[in-house]
Amino acid sequence: MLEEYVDQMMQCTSCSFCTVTCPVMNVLLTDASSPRGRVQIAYGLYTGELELDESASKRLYECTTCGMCDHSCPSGVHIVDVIKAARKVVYPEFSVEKQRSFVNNIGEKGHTYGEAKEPVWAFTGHEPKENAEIAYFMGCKITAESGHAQGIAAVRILEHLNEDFTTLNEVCCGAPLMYMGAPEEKIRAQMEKNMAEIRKRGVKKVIFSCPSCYYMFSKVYPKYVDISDIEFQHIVEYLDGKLDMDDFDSGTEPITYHDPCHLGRTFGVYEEPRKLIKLIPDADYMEMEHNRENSLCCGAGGSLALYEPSLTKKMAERRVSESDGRIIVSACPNCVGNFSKHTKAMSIEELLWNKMKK
Amino acid sequence: MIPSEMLEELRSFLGDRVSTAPADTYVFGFDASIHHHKAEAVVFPESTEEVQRIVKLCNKYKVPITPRGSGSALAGQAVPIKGGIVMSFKRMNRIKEVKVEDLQVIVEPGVINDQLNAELKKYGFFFPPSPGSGKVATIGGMVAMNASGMRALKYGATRDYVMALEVVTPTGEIAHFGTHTIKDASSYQMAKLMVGSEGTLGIITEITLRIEPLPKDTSIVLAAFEDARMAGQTISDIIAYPLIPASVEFMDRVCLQSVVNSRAVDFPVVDAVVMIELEGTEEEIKEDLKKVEQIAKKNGAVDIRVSSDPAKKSEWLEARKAVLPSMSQYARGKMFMVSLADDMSLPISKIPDAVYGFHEIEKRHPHVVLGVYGHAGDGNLHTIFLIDPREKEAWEDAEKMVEEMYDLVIELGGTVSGEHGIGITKAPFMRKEKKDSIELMKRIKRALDPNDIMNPGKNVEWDDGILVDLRYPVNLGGEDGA
Ligand SMILES: Cc1cc2nc3c(=O)[nH]c(=O)nc-3n(C[C@H](O)[C@H](O)[C@H](O)COP(=O)(O)OP(=O)(O)OC[C@H]3O[C@@H](n4cnc5c(N)ncnc54)[C@H](O)[C@@H]3O)c2cc1C
Ligand code: SF4
Ligand code: SF4
Repeated sequence: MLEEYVDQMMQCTSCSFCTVTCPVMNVLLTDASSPRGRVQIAYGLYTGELELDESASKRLYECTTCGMCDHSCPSGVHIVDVIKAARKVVYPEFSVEKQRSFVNNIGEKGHTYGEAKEPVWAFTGHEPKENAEIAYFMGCKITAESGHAQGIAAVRILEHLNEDFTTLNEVCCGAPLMYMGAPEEKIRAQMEKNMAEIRKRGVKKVIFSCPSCYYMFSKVYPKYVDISDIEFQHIVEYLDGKLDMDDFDSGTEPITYHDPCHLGRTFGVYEEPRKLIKLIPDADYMEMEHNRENSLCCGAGGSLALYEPSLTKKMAERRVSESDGRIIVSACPNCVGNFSKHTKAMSIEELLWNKMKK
Repeated sequence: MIPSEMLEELRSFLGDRVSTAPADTYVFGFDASIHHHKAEAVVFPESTEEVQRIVKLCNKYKVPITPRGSGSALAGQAVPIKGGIVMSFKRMNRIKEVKVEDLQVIVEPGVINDQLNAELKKYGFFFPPSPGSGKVATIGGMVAMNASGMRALKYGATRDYVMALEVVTPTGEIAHFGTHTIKDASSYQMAKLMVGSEGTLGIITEITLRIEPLPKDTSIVLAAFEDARMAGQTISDIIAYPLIPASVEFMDRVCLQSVVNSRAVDFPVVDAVVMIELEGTEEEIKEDLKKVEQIAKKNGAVDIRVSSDPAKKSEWLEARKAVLPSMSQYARGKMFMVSLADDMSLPISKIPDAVYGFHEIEKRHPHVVLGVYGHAGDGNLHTIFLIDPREKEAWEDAEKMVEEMYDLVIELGGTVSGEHGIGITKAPFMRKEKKDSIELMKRIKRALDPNDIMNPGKNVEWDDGILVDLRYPVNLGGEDGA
């Protein structure tokens, strides 16, 4: 599994530029839990100099796949890809119970949390239909009860705009499986189910509230399933240009915006959500110190929240400390869910829908 | 082997800040050099007292200690080549006191250069040595390496800014070297002895640095040449004019191509570029600019670009700093950067001969592509080797080439390291250069470190070749199969 990445590993000059940017390293303060360290561990596993054990898997799983390291590596090493490949090696023996129960839920019930009721779209009241222009893909976090508010807001906005859209009888996009290093056939099964459903609806475009689902469909699905003729977009990209200031009542509580890792560093979507927020007249808005490509990870990604919740908590607290008591608005259900445990947070869909003139 | 009773004792006061986990000890066996050797344990002290207790234990049980900042050393200095303990300073990273009225700042060794400068900027001051690795290099590592960078021409190296040091000696005493005064003629300059000692003479636990007010204005000139020797000539002519810019950087075609492949920057890809940073008042800069342009044109510059725009200047400076780690982007997937002959310093007037000579040597070694860059204004060059590190022949070729290059450096009156230090990979050539002082240096080492526990076997003590304990997947057929 790792042979494919040996060039990437050798490409690493060990300069350590990535280490200072890694939000995990900056909490744990050990080179062993830095991007460079993880690449070196993968390399040791590949050469056999390092035996596969609990200590190697721990360092490989202590990563949110936030992509900060890829962004800062002057050698162009695809660090996150190396980490994901190494996780495939460690998963069978060294994944933890919580990770495996996620994988089982997905296999048995289609969703990570296993709690989504059938049909998954029911809480939105918007039934799937055929031959719509677009489909709205909610993602597991929203189909679980704690995420419903975001999904409802997204659907209401689309209805309000009279968009010709359908919900889907969707299953988990497969991203958590990929991040954990679960067997490929399980990921492929999810992809096939989702693509069959999307094809059945005859849509040309799928829009997402979850940047990880968006990433999965745009960057990973094409390697395994046929996605031809279908366009993917995050909902903030989709809404950009469709709304104007007249659509909103003025004023907000003090708010700030957190750039989700994938939406920002992978897709470069930084300005669209800000433009949407600033459509609200007199929005009380301030940036956090680390924003856009330097945004700090919320700590929940890459299955870290399952593997080491205490680390997720420390990372979230660090990020929250930058918000200066403002409500953290974000365009990712996972970030919002994670921040909500520590401060007031809300999805951009909820903010917009709350302020829209009805 | 670290005795189990020593590990137990370490754990009694460090708790989980001691690790013997295989993955951790493996990772702490790397720095940015070609070498790798696993540590046996890693410790993360948080105070001088903890450092002292660890050192006393190591001295008692004769266990090697390798201090470590960010592990960005290029010649094996931070690799625990004899095993033992790696002492990481990641948890001693406080800026203790900024005293601008006394022109000084007091820091713990784990503070990172750029973080220190961000703090000093708030006061209108800075710590001038500006290594390419400034965003990662710790102050402890910079002192231990006598690091410097682009601005050494005008501002000097770390050595010139070290006022006082707190040091835990290899036998476990806490000693204070230097003073908190600008002038100091009180006996031996012990603080300076620690500068560049590469962790072999003691552990630096607190550093007092002199600081400088930030310059008023700066402008950067990029002069492009289709003949690298004329670029070198331009540098000597600027200095001889006389004109001492803040920095004068040199990059050859291979380096330019690598950095352009790695990031969005508008560097011209030509035989060589000279990048000159001028500072002073607007008027002074204008005057100096005229002189620089005149000299560059006289030497056949094919393109001259000037900028005083902060964004553009930062783009150029950052791109220059990214040369070294961008080198594996030159021929992605085929040739990889390895740190060999990474550093040398020459009389400024010999830069053109050295650049020409290195490329002549390169022609005799088909397995190596050579990149040359550096702070040429102060005579400091860096070279980068691109090879396929999986090929035995490439290493054999590279080894010969390193030797020929350092012979040329010594012949031209230079030294084998200007700033990256000796470690392992440059030790044999340093021995050649310093024939009549190596014994004395060894005596100093023995006097301070009788049990040879501080970063043992490196620098003055290294007595092997350079291709040992390689971190690459290649078998050179040596004893250890490295
Ligand atoms: C991309 C890149 C660019 C670079 N550019 C430059 C440059 O322009 N100029 C330059 O001078 N160098 C440069 N270097 C080399 C290196 O970054 C510097 O030498 C830097 O100062 C090392 O700092 P560090 O914190 O990484 O130290 P480490 O690599 O961790 O350690 C270096 C040495 O210092 C010792 N040490 C560390 N901390 C202590 C302490 N507290 N007490 C005693 N000994 C200690 C270690 O044992 C080791 O011998 C570059 C390296 C890279 C990878
Ligand atoms: S992806 Fe993020 S958390 Fe993981 S190693 Fe890179 S910077 Fe660190
Ligand atoms: S920044 Fe890139 S080249 Fe440098 S240590 Fe990290 S992965 Fe390696």
